[in-house]
Amino acid sequence: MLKPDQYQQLVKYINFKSGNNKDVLNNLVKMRPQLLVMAIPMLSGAQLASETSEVQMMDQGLLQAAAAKGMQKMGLEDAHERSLAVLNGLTDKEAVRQVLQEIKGQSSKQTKSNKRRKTKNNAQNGKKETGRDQYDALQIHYYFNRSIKGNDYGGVQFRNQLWLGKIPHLLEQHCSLICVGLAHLKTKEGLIQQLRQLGYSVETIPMTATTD
Amino acid sequence: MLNHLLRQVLLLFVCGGIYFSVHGQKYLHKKVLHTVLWKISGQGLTNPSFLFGVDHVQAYEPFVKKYPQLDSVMAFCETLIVENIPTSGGEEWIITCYIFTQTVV
Repeated sequence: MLKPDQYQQLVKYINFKSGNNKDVLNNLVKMRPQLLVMAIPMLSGAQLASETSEVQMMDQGLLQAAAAKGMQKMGLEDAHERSLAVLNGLTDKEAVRQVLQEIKGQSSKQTKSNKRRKTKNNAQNGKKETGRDQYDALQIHYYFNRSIKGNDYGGVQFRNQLWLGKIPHLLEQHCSLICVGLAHLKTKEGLIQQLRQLGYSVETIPMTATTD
Repeated sequence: MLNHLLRQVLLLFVCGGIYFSVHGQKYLHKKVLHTVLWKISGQGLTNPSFLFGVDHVQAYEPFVKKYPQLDSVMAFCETLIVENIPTSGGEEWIITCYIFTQTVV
């Protein structure tokens, strides 16, 4: 599926991200393009976590806080279901396009790191913010009247439907905090609207930032 | 000359009005909600549950310090449900509520 120059680009990217780890390279280049779509952001995430080893990412932090509070921990899906979601949501062609876009995006991020820092500073002055800044300020746009556009990238819709088969049972059993990616909430097919359609009342909880 | 200018201004207002009556709806949908936390109740639930929209690459500690409501909600809940739970090392992802999945799916 990949052209020779694209393959070389992929190999170069994986080597860079994995610190020339041959096992990672061997495993990733053998993957179906759809699974690569899933693996490549994880590779970036792993690198981000290793670069900033003191910083705990959101999911990891939530799990550790839950363990400290003695909460029970559960997952909504297993690895098989996760890969099914990706395979159902993407064609090979689209997956290759997504992978190349990811590589291109990442390499331009590295070369423009100074520019990014500048953007972060600009955010404080009311200029254009990054997605992470917007999340931190809770400036999030919800489109409850709109459907997911185009392909079901990453199988968001597929996974929501899968989870909706399990969530009602979980809600009956436990008082739970369900933590899912924001993309799973935003649209008509998102969990908020879908749970409302199942008859639940889903209300916002206002969050206010501490002053310090 | 003045009449011509007035006509042009009027035409601009009319065109603007038509544009916003047609496309205004999509701007209304872009409502900003200052939250990523939701309460789920009803349908005979004895206790409410909560839904939290996660940004997977956001750092946990500073976010919880900034928005302590998340910690309060965690203290109230018995169970944390995430998309999937990593095994040691976080490389391989599996489900921990295996028995649950078997009974429900």
